[in-house]
Amino acid sequence: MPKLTILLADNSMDKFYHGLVLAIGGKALDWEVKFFVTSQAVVLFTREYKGKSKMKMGALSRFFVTWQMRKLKIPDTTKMLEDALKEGVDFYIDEAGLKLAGIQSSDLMDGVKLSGSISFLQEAKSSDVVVTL
Amino acid sequence: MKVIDSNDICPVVILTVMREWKSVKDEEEIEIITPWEAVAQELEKWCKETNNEFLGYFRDGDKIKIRLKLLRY
Repeated sequence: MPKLTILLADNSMDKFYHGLVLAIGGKALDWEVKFFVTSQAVVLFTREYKGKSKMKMGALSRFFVTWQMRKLKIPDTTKMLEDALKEGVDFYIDEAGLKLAGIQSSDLMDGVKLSGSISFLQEAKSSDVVVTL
Repeated sequence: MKVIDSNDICPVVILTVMREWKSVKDEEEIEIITPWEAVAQELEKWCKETNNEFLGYFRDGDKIKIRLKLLRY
């Protein structure tokens, strides 16, 4: 089975959304999908945020794009994350990034695992496609 | 024939087709109705990758109708 590994290090909606699109696309092709999360992006995987993210743009532009997304029925990142988890995408959260953000592992959503750089490198080494965002 | 009529974006539609494919016993023909043009080409590639059959597509007003034969042998 082909394997896709994604590395996300940014908490903006733009990058998170595209990472989720690729992860869901990978599962639709029946691929194994590993999704590593580090740096500022770890906050998206807490029980408080549950995948809720914001675009990095001004308030008015953000409001317009959010309105357009609703109009075009484009799902938000919370829904996309739910779908990705349901389809069996494996999410790995970097423990160092978590500590830097002052978050405990008990604050993480269910279904995600802790990991470090060696896990990412091993998965990346054995992957057919690696995407960093 | 099962019809999937969805306004959802491309990966969500393909995921819906994937879920349908997983439930197929031998083979099943389905039609997907979508307003998103890229879905047809993406499903054609999805069929090649997953060994399903892409039967074609046509425009019907502001929608695209796509036919697939899902195979599970």
